[in-house]
Amino acid sequence: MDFAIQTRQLTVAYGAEPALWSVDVDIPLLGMTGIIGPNGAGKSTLLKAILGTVPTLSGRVELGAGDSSHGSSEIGYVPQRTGVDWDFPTSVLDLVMMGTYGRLKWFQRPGKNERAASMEALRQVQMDEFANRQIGELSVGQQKRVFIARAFVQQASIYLMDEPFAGVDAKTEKMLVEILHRLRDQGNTIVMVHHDLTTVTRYFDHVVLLNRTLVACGSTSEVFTSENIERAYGVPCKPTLDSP
Amino acid sequence: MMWDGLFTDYTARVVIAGSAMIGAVSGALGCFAYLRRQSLIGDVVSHASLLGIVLAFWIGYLVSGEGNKSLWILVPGAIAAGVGSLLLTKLITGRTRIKEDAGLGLMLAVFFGTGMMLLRWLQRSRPPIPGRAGLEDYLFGMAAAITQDDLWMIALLAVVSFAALILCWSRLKILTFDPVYMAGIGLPVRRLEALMLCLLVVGIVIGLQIVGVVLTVALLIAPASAARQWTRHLGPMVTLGAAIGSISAASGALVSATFDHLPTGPCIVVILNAVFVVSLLFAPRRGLLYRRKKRFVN
Amino acid sequence: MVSEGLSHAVLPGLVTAFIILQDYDSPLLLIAAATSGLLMVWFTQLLQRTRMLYNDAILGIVFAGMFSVGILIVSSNLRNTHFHADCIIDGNLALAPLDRLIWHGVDLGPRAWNLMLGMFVVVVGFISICFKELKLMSFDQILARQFKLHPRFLQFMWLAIGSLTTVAAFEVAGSILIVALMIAPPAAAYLLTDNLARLLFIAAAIASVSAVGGFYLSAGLDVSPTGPIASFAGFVFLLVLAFAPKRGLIAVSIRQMRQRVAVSDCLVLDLVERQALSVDGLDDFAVKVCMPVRECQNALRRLQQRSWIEDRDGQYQLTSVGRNHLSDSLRGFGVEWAVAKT
Repeated sequence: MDFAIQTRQLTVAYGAEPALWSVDVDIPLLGMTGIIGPNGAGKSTLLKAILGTVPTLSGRVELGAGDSSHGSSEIGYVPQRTGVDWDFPTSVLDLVMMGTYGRLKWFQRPGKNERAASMEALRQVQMDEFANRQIGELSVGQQKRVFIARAFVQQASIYLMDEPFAGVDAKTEKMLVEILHRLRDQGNTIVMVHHDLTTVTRYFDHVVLLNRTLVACGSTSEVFTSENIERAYGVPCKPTLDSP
Repeated sequence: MMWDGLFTDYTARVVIAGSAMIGAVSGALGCFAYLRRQSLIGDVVSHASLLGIVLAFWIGYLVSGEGNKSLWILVPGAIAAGVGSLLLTKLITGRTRIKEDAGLGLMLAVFFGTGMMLLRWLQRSRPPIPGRAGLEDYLFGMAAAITQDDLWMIALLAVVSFAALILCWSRLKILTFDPVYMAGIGLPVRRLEALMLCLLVVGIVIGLQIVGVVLTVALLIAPASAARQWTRHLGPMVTLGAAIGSISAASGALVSATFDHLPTGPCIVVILNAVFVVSLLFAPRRGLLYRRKKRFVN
Repeated sequence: MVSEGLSHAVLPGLVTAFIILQDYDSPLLLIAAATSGLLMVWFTQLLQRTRMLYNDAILGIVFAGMFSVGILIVSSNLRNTHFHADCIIDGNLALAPLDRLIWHGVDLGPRAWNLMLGMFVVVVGFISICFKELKLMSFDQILARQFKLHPRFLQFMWLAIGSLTTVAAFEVAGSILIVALMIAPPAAAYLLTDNLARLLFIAAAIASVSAVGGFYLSAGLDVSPTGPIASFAGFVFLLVLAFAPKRGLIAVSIRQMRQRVAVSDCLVLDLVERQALSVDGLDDFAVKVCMPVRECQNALRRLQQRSWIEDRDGQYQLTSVGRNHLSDSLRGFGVEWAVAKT
């Protein structure tokens, strides 16, 4: 099986306590992978370590396309919504075009091609009619879709997302999942930090269970068992096999 | 006392051209300070640069034996002190539990206090240092003191900072909007952060000559705050900020030169604040009157 | 930074009152200046409510604007009087003893001294009466409201007293000194203690020491004392910043270095336990676990010194002490799953 992302002995520490301890993860190419674990388990840190934005104490990250321990524009990244100023003077199309900046040279500006690619990305998430809106005028769900479009325009094949469903209502979440599943079916790899245990079996093909160190990693049906969840969360907990 | 009685046309042109250029640079760079919510950093850097100015003057005197107030000597000192105060603030707030607000206020008071102490000491030292009179103009600004030589320095700073703005536009924009994402797609955040910081310090230091250390924050922030009300895009905002800064600075310098003993800084700031209030009230979409009318219609 | 704003914003009130009254000693001056300070707070809140601007920008615009108006009034109307633009920054501490308060022909000492003594009594009184209320208020506003402590009234009182202190000190000390003495001593004290009452005392002590030390410095340099006092307060702060026992920069750096060494030792210990490491296979090992060779070497040396690992027939092996330490620290790190694995 081909892997999109592999980590070996990945250890990251902030101060006295390690956030990740010797993590070996294999994230398969194609499909949707959920990173799951209790609060403070190092889920976001794992994403950041894969992107190369936190210093590692030991270990390496390999991307399918080749070795890279530093951030790469081959990875599309959707950060958490917090930390962005929605009153910033820029339009939706402008925001999406920022996804192309990684490709541009230092002194280059986005041109016609970038603009067309950004419109196309907006179309993918059904936000093209909002292209000229000020970003502050969007709802939370629309903001998430625009962020996904921005990652999309990077023309990456791997997408890392930090809790894309945090703070959205059930209807929006359903729509986002449809968009992401479509993205997956077009031959992309999607990796996301996820919180809600009840939807895991429905959303993900693969699961990484994490609690500072790797608990288990593999296809959802094999790994997402009550035994593993108990090990990750430290309390007995049954996986809910809910019916949609 | 009238304008034409005090100055030959040539001096007037130098002063107005200098003020306009300074206003444009401060106004444009101020937009980034505003959007990055670093307005108060402007206040700290400007106060801190007094120490740099006085030290640079003194060192210049020790080296050459005469006091020289040329911007070519004072500006590097001001920039060094400004960057120093920012790095110290960062060290204090990053490595201890002191909050950013307190750290900024602290650095402001300490650098400025020390600067004032040295300034007063230089003014009283025996034997008197030639050329020391006029150093205190940096407190509240004196546009009339701009010389031909200074104009070249100002022009150089203006060209460098506008060139940096235009060339690195995309990167500076994404850095200001979403640094986390920027790091995520593998762009060098730290290097750009350093560039941005240097640009901001230049934008602040360049304003000292005309508004003085105490009020520079207004020349940096007020044009940005006014421009923000009129537009929804970064490009027009920066352009408008530069225009507002430039026009206000030039007209403030004119007013101050027309009346005797009126420091330039306060004149410019009052004009800037008038422009700001007008923008806040009357700008389309965001202006208070527009919003009130809209609520009324609904 | 609000105190910085306040110290500038009192100016227009002060000078307007002076122009109208033409009297330097009138208590109305004080009230006008305090009103001007509160006006700044009100302007700031007004602009905040429009939600069209960031708060830090508002503060900068409002205080710079008010200060400019004050300076313009000073320089257009009051040339050659007691007020001088420089005096606003410097204050006139050195001249303060010459300005006596005469009441019914009795000399009661320097006017400013009396004024500050009054302020001192008011501030100390307010703090000691409302100590627990203020403590709760600065910690948890919502809880304070539940306890019916009227946090808004308290906050207003606090602001008013702050404004009044600023104004009273302004005339003597000028604007830099106010900011320096309002921020540097509490910040230094904050690095020394966690107890609020002790914090207040330490801050007051540091401020007094700075004032006296700065005064002697100013006498030495023959300059107005405000700059030196601010400078001295900053110097005391920098000393505390560097050397404070628990939170000083040196203490913090040493602690962080120790933590880093402890974590990386433990990591190497864990790796040795799980990956075989022969005595001469260090390079391969370092590549395998992706650590710098030097760091591995150092860690191994430290581990051997503590006899957590030993050389058994050319293979590094954990001793029983080492194994205990590993499982203890892993449990401490919250990596219990890894403990079960080893």
